[in-house]
Order: sequence, then structure tokens, then C-alpha cells
Amino acid sequence: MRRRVGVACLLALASSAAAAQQRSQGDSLADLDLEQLARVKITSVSRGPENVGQAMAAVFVISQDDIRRAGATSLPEALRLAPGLQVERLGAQNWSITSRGFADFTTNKLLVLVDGRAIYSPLFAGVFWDSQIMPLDDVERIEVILGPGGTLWGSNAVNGVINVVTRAATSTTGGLVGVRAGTEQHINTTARYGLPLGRSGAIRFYGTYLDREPIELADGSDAEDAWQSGGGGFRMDLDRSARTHLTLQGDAYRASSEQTVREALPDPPFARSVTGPVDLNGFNLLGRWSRQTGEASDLQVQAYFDRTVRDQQPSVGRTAVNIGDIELQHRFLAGRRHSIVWGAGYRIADGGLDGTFTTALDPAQRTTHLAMAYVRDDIELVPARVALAVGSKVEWNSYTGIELQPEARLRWTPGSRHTFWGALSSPVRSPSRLDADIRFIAGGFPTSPPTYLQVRGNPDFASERLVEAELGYRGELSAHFSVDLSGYYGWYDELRTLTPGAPFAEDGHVIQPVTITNFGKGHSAGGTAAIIWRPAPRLQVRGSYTFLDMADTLDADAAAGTTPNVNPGLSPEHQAGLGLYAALPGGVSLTLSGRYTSPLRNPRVGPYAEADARLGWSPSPRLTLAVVGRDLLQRRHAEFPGEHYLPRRGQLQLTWRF
Amino acid sequence: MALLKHPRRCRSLAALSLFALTARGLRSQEAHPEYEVKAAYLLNFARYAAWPGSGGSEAAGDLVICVLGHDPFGAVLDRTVAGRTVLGRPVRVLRPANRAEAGPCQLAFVGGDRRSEIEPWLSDLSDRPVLTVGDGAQFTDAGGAIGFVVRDRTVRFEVNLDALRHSGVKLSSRVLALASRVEGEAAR
Repeated sequence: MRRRVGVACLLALASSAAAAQQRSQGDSLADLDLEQLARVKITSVSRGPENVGQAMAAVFVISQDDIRRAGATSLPEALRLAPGLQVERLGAQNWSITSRGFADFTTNKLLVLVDGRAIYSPLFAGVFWDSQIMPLDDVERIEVILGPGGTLWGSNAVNGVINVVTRAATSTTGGLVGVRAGTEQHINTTARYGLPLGRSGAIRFYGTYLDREPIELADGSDAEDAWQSGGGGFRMDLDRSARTHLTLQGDAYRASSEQTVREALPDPPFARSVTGPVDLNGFNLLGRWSRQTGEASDLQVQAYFDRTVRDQQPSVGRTAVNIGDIELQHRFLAGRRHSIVWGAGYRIADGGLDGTFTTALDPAQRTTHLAMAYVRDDIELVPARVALAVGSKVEWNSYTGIELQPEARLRWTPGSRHTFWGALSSPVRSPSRLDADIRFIAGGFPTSPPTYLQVRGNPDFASERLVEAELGYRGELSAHFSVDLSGYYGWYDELRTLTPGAPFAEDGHVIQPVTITNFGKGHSAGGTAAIIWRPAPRLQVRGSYTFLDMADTLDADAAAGTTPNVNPGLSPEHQAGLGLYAALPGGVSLTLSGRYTSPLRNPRVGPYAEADARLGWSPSPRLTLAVVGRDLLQRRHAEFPGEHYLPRRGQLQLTWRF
Repeated sequence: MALLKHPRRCRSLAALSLFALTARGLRSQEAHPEYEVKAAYLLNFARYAAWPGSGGSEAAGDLVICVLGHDPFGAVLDRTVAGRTVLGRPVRVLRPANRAEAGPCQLAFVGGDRRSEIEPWLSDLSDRPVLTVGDGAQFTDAGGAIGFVVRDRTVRFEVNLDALRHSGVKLSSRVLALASRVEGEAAR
């Protein structure tokens, strides 16, 4: 799991590293005989995310096999494989992704990490899914946690964590070329080549290019959101010794599209719809150093730099954000029963928005800081049967100062095939630039001088808070059937609301302010059931069902005129999925999957049911061909408000390894 | 304005004192990372195994150890086998991505801790002379031949004789004697 580092902790790090100097004996082990090996003591730090069966949270892992079998070509498509996530597509390259409610055009309560790099934007605490153009061929797994991850994971882990882990370069030597061509996604190509570095390291390089058609609008015209993007990157892994591992990786991308947006005008009619170009680019560089520092102890230091530029001239303007982040994590056993993990981190985000008449930030440019530290103790109360984990994170941010995020989790394993768990946790969603500094013209009135309705950020915006109780069960009911159940009730407070204020004059016009406030509260309750059934060795059936009950209200003492900013009507009450995978003779495989989403209620969209299919054939180990059909049941369907209709589409996929 | 309903929340810095916990826990030890030990075991299993048709000694070519599915070894396994031979045969590590690529495997470590990850590989290998090794008792339960188990901070292993017999690979009694548990019809 992961964390961020305070500079103050670097001293502790340096002394830990020095104290841990040890002889390297790695090579000599190979000379030992069986009898001797059986006596060698090992380090045995438990690694939470890798041991899903023991996790005290609703965790699902999407493996590389799962991604390949589904024929997924983008990260959001792959995320549809996780039970309990709500993934809706809003346009050619725009998505709304959340868990446990709070779906919106800009969801802001999810922490998304790619190899330890947080990819949610400090501008609005949400993810620009369109900039995530990584090739999925090199993804090892995607860990999805439904619910709070506030203590061990970074900031913003309120109702879920998505952790994308790419394969080490040592596992991807050789070449790979993937070409996917079809309707809607004209072409989507990736190329990768990896080569060994010395005896114990490797490096790979990749490049990718994507060209998408525009999406259709309700009246049959196109949304003019055609999309082209290209990018490349590398990952290098080196084992400096048997215990020390070094990773260096980076990506760069550029994309261009068009979007149709509402633009505010200074004079009547005060607003119009306008289509204009969107240009994105960015790059990141990350280094990670980890070391087994001794018996049941390891230490990891990670630092990254990430630059994101988006130029959306009509309406929004040009945003450029640079993020620097450094983190430290250390775990060790204390006595026989305590496994302790602690860490610290520091992140600086610098940048802002060269705004337009419609949208601006005040101040336009700003540097914000986030420092945090956490500790969690996993205590084995009854060996192999009952475990308790308690911990907290303390975070300091530029907006609200100090935030505490405690949690307690309990696991009961009555037998190796059954695990029950429960948790009580309290994460926060700390403010973004949008909450604190936005200036957005939402409308105008033809008074003299004109009056503008302006949404204004609030420097005193407090963090949105959640207290959530969870229960879960995970069982292997037979060798062929496993089940995962989880349920939760979350109490939200300090939710974002909008409160009108008194009009005032500014620069020759009148501003009717609507200020962002914290007068909302509400609940989100529900659960997810997921099963995996293997009726025959080459046949796998997966099913999932998610229920959600979500509502919000205003505080009794909310200022007059306050309106909620949360829309539970965008989160479906029911979601269900069913998938079948069959490995047939002759290197042929078949994947069929269907999904159902109950209607969104405000505004009303759906319900819809859709189905995907993939038929794959590997005539040789080096070559895989596949035909993929997506959203096959209807000629077109909409998943979210905004009149964007997704077509039925087909794709040919070719993957060649050498 | 009446907007500023809640003052900023201030909390105690006392939580930072939790850092004091880290002062201990860092001592000099002789312990080894788990997968270094397991890599050494794989080499030993290969030494004490006989594949059908090979007569156990004079087969030509490399001895191929595969890592299938999740790879917990990283470069550790490659380093462990580098320059080693088994009965005169050089040892090579492969990481096949699918069943078709797994053709040359003689000893296969199947990674992953869920049956759903393990079983497809085991069924792919079930009709071939491959010695399958994996993590945990659930691996032998699922039909793998040898499952590593960690007992008292040492790495031991369990053997599923039925799976072993079905694969056609023969293991020296020396290996079986060291197994912490031997299961299967043949053991009863």
C-alpha cells in the first residue's frame, strides 16, 4: 500500500538505511541442500494487496488475463471488470467512474494511482480519464478497493481506491506489437520492446497511438469530439542486490480533440454553445527504491514529478499543473503479533488556470502543499484466526490544515475457506482548487449594468467527511465456487453545497455570487455480491450485483437559499454483470459478458442492458487474433446525461510477440 | 456572509509521536527474503526430479523452469539459477504468457494466491510431464504437485502425490521425506 512523505522523515530514513546494512548472502542459498533450506529463516512481512483472501476490505483484483480476455483497450474499459465500480462513458474519451455513489461529470472521491503516482487532479480532485493512454498489455494487475482507504492510501481515498500496477521490466523483455482497428475506435496501436540490463535488470520502451471517431448525439449529428492521442514511455527495473530494488519509469503524451461547451458571454443572451479545440499534453517521471532492511522489515522511498497541461480555449482556458511528490514507507514486525506499517509523504502542486470570461481561478496560479504521515498496526489476536488492524493518517494541507483519518478493521477466519471482516473508518475529501478558488459565470441578467451569476470558491471550504461502517464475507464454498459479499453504510457530512449571497458591484457590472459551502449531509448505503464459478476446467463464470441507496439533505442550520451540489439521481440503484470465459480446443477462446444498469433518475437516463463478446485465436504462441464486439444489443445507447450515444461497435485485434 | 459555518478543524499533533515506534525493529539479521529461499528450492526440486523418457540423467538441452501467472520472484530466480546446472544441463528460466508458450516447461512455478488464478494453468499443464510448484496448501488442494508453506518462519512444502503421479514426473524419496505433509490416494 502507499503513502506520502514529510521532509522531516528523511532523517529517519537515512538512519534506518544505515542501520540496515547487511551482508548479502543471496547467491549462496542456491548451494544449500534441501535439508539446509528447510532451516533457513525468512523475512515474512505480510503484503496487504497481494493477499486478497485475507484483506479486511472489499478488494477485487483485475489481472492481465482478465484484461486480455475482455479485449479491453483502455483503462476505463478494464475497470468495468471490477464488481461494484460504476463506470459510465460520457463521450468519445470522457468517463464518469466512481464507487459507492456520488457519480457526476466530475467525480471527486476516488483515489487513482498508477504505479504509485496519484493521477487525480488537484484542480478538482477528479481524474482526467482522457489523459490515461497507457497500453494495457504491460499492466500486471489493477487493484480495486470499494470504500474508504484513507489511512494507508493517499488523500482522496473516500469511497474507493484504484491502483494500477504495471509489470516489472524484468517480466517484459522482448517485443510486442498490438494493432486494434475497427468502427468507432479507428485505430489503437501499441508497440513495446524490452531488453535485459546486465544480469539482474531490464528496461522497456513503449509507444502508443489512438484515433477515435466522434460520438453520436441524440439527433443523429456527431458530437465533434473525435480524438487523437499518442504517447510513449519507459520502465527500468534493477535489482541492486538481493534485497535492493530500483525502479525508474516515465511517460509522455499528447492528445487533441474538440469539445462542445457552454460559453458565458458578457452581453445578452449571456451564453452560447461553442465547439473548440482541446489540446492536452503531459509527462511524468517516477523513481522508487525499496530494500529489505532485515528480518520482516522493508523500506521504500518513492518520488515523482508530473506535469499536466490542458488547453480548452472556449469556456475553460489553459491549465498547467506541476506536481512533485516524495513518499516513504516502512514496515516491520514488532514482537510475534504486530505487523506495523508507517509512512510519510509530501506533495507540492504548483500551477493553475489562465482563465476565460466563463471560468477562472482566483488566484489564477497557486502553490499548494500536502504533507501526511500514517501508521497502522495489524495485530494477530488469535493466530491464523482473528486479526485486528488499527491506524490513522494525519494530513496537513494548504486549505484546511490538519485532518485526522482513523480506521479500525477486524478479520475472523474460522477456516481456511471462509473470511469475515468488518471495518469502521473516517476518511476525508480535502478541498481542491475548484472548491476554494473557482470563479465561474453560470448566467447573466439583462439589467443595467448587467448582472452575472457567479459561482465562487470558498477559501474556508472545509473537507467533506465520511464515517463508514463495512461488513464483508469471502468464501471458497467449493473448489469450483467462490463468493465475495460486502455491505456498508456511510454517513457523509460537510458535503459541497451552493449558497447565494448579496449582490455587489465589480468592474462596471453586478455580481450575484453563489458561494461553495459545506451545508450538505447524506448517506450512501449498499452492497456488492460477486461470484466466480468454474463448472469445468476451461470454463469460468463470473457474476456480480451491486445495490446502492443514496440520499442527501441540507443541514438544519444551512444558510437561506442553499442548494445541494450532490445529485444522487446520477447513481444507479442496481447494477449487475455476468461474464463467461471458455478456453476451447485449438487455441480458441470465447468471452461473453453482459451488464445491466438501472435508470439514472435525475435527469432520467436508461435503464440499459448491453453485451460484449470476444473470440480469440492463438495460432502460435507469438500471435493472437481476436474479434471483439462491444455494446452489441442496441444500435446505440446512452449511459449518462449529455445526449452522447454510444454505438454498437466491432474491432479486430492483432497481438504479435517476438 | 453566513457561509463560513465551520471554522477550520485543528487536531493534535500528538499522532506524529507514533513515529517513535520505528526506532526498534531494525536489527541486523541473517534472515532471507522468502522468494530467495523458494528460488533455491526450485533448483533443488529440479535436481531430485526425473521426467518420463529422460531416464533422469541423459536428456539433452536446457532444463527449463517456468514462472506462470503472477511472478513473485522478479530477478531473484534468474540470479539463483544463473550458471547452475542440473545433472549437467544448464538451467533456463522462462515466463510464458499463455498455454502455447508453456510448451518447453519442465518445472513450473504457478504464481497467485487464488484458485481462479491457479487452476487455469494447472488444467493447461495437466496432460504434460511438468512438475508444478506453487504457494500454500491451497495449491496442492487445487491439484498442484508441490505447495510451499511457511512454518515458524521457515519455508517448507507439501506434496500432492496424485498430482505428481498424474504428471508422470518422479520425485526422489529424499524430497518426499522432507515434505511437511504428503497427501493423495497414494499416501493412504
